[in-house]
Amino acid sequence: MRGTLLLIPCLLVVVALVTLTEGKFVASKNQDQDTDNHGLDTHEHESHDNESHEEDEEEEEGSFDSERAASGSGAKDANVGYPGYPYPSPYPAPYPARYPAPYPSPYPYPAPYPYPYPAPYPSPYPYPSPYPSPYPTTPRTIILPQKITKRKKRRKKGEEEIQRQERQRRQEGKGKLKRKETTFASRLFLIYSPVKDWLINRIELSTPLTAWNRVQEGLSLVKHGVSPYSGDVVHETPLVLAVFLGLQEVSELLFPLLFVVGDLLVGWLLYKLASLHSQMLLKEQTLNLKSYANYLLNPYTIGSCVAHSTVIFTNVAVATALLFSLRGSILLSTLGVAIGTYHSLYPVTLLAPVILILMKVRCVDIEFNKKTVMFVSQVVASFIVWTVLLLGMSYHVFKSWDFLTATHGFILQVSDLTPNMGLFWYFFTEMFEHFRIFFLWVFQINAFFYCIPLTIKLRDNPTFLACMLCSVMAIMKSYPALGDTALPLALLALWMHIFPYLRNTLMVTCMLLCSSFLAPVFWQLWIYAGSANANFFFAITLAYSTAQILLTSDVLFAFLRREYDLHHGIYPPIMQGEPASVILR
Amino acid sequence: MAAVGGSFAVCLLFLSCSLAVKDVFHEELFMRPLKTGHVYAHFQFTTVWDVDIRDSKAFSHYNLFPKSFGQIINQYSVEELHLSLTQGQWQHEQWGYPVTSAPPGAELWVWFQDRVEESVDENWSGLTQALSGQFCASLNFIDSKTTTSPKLSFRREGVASAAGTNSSLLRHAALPRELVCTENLTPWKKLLPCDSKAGLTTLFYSLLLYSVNYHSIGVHLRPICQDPSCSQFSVELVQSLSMVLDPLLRGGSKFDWSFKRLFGRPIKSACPLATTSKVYVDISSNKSGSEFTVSPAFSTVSRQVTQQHQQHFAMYDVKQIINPSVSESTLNVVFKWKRRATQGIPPQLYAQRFVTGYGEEKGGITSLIHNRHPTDPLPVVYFATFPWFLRIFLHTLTIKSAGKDIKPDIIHVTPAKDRMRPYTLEILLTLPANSVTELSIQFHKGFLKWTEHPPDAHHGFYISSAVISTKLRSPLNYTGPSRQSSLLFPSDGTTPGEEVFLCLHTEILLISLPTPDFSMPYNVICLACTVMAIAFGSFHNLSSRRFEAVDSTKSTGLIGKVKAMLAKLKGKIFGKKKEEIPEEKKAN
Repeated sequence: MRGTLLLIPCLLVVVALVTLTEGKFVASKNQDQDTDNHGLDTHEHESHDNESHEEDEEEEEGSFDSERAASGSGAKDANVGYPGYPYPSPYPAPYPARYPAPYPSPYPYPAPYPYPYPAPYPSPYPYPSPYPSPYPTTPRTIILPQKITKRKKRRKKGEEEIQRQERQRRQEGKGKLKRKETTFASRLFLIYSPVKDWLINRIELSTPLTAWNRVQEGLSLVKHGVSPYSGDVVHETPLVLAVFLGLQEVSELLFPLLFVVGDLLVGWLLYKLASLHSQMLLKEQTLNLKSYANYLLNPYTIGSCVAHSTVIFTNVAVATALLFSLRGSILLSTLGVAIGTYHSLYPVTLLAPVILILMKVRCVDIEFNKKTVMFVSQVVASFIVWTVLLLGMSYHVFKSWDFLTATHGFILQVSDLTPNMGLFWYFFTEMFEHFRIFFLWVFQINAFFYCIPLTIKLRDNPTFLACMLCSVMAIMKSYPALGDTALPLALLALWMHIFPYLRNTLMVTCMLLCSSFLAPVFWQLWIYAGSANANFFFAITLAYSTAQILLTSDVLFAFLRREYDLHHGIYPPIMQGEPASVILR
Repeated sequence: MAAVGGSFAVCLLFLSCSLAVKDVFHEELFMRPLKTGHVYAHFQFTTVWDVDIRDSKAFSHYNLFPKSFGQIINQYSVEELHLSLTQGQWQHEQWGYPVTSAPPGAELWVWFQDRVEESVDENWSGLTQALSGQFCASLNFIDSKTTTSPKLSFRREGVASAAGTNSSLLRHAALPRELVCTENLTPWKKLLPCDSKAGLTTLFYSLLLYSVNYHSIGVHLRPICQDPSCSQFSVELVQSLSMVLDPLLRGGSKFDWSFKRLFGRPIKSACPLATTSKVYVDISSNKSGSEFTVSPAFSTVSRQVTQQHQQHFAMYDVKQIINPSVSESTLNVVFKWKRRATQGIPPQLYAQRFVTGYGEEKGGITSLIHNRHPTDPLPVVYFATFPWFLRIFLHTLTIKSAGKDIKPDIIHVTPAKDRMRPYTLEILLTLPANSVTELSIQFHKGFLKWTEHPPDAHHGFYISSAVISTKLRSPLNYTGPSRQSSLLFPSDGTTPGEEVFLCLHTEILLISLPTPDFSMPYNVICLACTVMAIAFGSFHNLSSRRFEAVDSTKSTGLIGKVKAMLAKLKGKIFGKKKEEIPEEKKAN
């Protein structure tokens, strides 16, 4: 309290001097330029892909710094006494002193205490932080000097060098192929082992929508000449059934293989996605291409692959959509979204990030002009065409529209209350009948609604938006399983650089681990032992959902916080002599 | 006296002429000693009314045919109706075949007239409501969730036109949980012309009637032909009451029985309105009279089953035995064992059914169907319905006999719709000779809403019996009416056809479903909504605000304001810092 009160006069002086010494702006600008090379480095390191943006940032940053510098020089002029200040102001004061002789300085007396900071530094970056950072982990790791030098070197090297590195990366990829083989082998081993039968019936892994025995039932009903959608057991889409029917013609032994291959395909797509994304994000810097490994080695994914969960089709579709939107292919990316929508409805929200990514890749501005509208309507039209095509093909498989109520209607109505890892099942089990429709609307709108605010907020970072929407889908969909979480978790690896900003990693990790391990235990206690009741399992699904919500919102927070730091510098501005706290307002 | 009687007769004649319809009533009681020492008693009351069931105008004048029932079947355009209310499970392996098979609980199957083909479902629901009132049974709980229309089982038993075999006119439903008691018997008795005032119904002493091993009342209505050329039709209403009694439960230590011991009273009268009033006792197993004795004296009725095998029955004509002029004449059949053979011939076809698996997640249902015929394979129709909350997986259906897979000839499947219709499975398969065929299917248990559970949720849910229908050639231990006759033992002595249509009902099953916690709907709603609110809150917060640098010392919000106020107050009171600031200002 006392400190701040004392600081007020100092600040007043500073402000007064800034207004007085406007002419020194040029000087401060020069000063700023002196330190520019360091500043630029950091900017570039953290900046985005396009150069213009970077320049903008630089300007902003520059003006900000100059203000600071001005205030600093003002302070110096005021003779507050920095004995060690290296250089005197090189310019003579352009204005005559306002105060004539009797007062050597505007202050009647010298400052009661020395200014606490060693220098009115023009830019804070090249210097170590003069005060402890208010954040638990500083993003200082990002600006390791080695990395900077590495980058510099690389910049010097020409395209040959880049090519050489790509070769190297490919070799690395080959090295990682071994890991790929192990994932492949582990899946094959598990899928042909008795573990499979156990996993197939796990409600954590397969929901009524994706359960393998329901697909088998569909195939069996088709074999007996009964429409699979005349009952309420089969909720698989006709085209997927058609795929399996086709495979059945060849051999039933191919079913497990299809799932393994599908899973590896998702892994490969994510690998490509990660490399493309990293190229897009930081043109030359190699980001760790861990997301595919993250996907393929995730026990959730292995589990749902072995359990023959057909969520794999959604995951392939989503990964395809994201990869090809980064490649700028309208047709293929919308095909991915359309397949995802067709298979599990919720990926329709991914249309927004896909459009934005395509716009970014194709350099279409996010403005309301003719070009943009044309482009967006082109993408949407292509999506609609694909969807209509898929639905039409489905109609031709069984010559009836029954599948719509059995698949999409079933997703929306939540008529099957079999427990899963989501929030819907117990809520609607215990719901009062006359409120059921109302809450059904609330919950379903909730699942789709997050698309709008997130799209508006993250319109400049559509890839991250896609990741966020995948997470939201995995939490809010009506029949989620562990396999749904695998994809957003894998995508998170693309944003490893924001991890230092995460606030409650430990809690989320613990909650996820606990719920993953306790879910089968409580299920066993409730269903088989009879020593627990439904509330036990419900508590676990609540914890699981909460953990996912916390993780997602935390990642979003971290991302926005980092964005803020990119624009404003990692050290907060000084307000009243103390570092300002950065809060959401 | 004679004059009065004569005028009464003339009156009657006049009445019958004016109505121009004829109806007759028969009452019969068939008793069979079983190998286990039990006694099977089957009462059958038959009313035959010479009207065409399709002629709705004919259903306005009633004589012997019960009016309340006639109005119901006319109102809902019923052509054939079979209702049974049963307590207990018939043990085919030990008891042989009953005259009419019935599953535990209530079973109703109805063929509607083809003129109501468009509105069968409305008629069905109206009929179940009406019958529910008529018989004081919970038949009103029959809805689309329990109703089926089997394609192969439950064929018509009466006259059928060629178009009438379309199963869209058939509705079948079973309520396995239904309990049967005197409240069902009383309205059933009221349909009889003599009620329980006279005739064989006087044996119905409610206290003893329900302390039995098996008890089943049935109402069967069908159109029949008046003559062999089938130019005119009649309506036949059969009301039957079957029971399996244990003589040991009626006191004493022997399996010997009499009417007095089993029913508490002898037969004191015949129904005066009945054309036939007869009691039969099966004495086929009493070869050379060494096994038991039956008294009083009887006349023997024989029936040729096969060329080698004959069935013999002791017959008492109640109308002749009980002389109204002698006040104390009664009929009390006394049955005494000499030597009881505990081993009998098991029936050719019988079945068992049971639930497999453990836990409340999944399970299976296995049926064992026995064909004891040494040489002949037997084609049977297996019909089973499962409630919608059992998610039956057809791909797990296995039919095996002696380790070999049997390929069914026909499979009809109607998959269940949630809260709409049950799962129906109908299989036509051929049982190999002298074999046990195992038919099993797996299911997952559905999760019901908390309001869909009955008050005693942990009791479990009943699964209605499977029905196995077949045509048996010359069954040894089957006694029943032939399809052509209305009586158990037609007086003209026609032998039943070589093939007998047979219907078996297996056991009903009890399955416990996983239950939610019924006590805390509010808590669950609150908790789930809280998690949703966490999500909404954090996303709303992050997407509607932006980061800003603020003075860390200046705390905002209510607490901050309060703090600032307090600080101001403090400054005012102590006036310490107040001095400093004006000084500075002055200096400026």
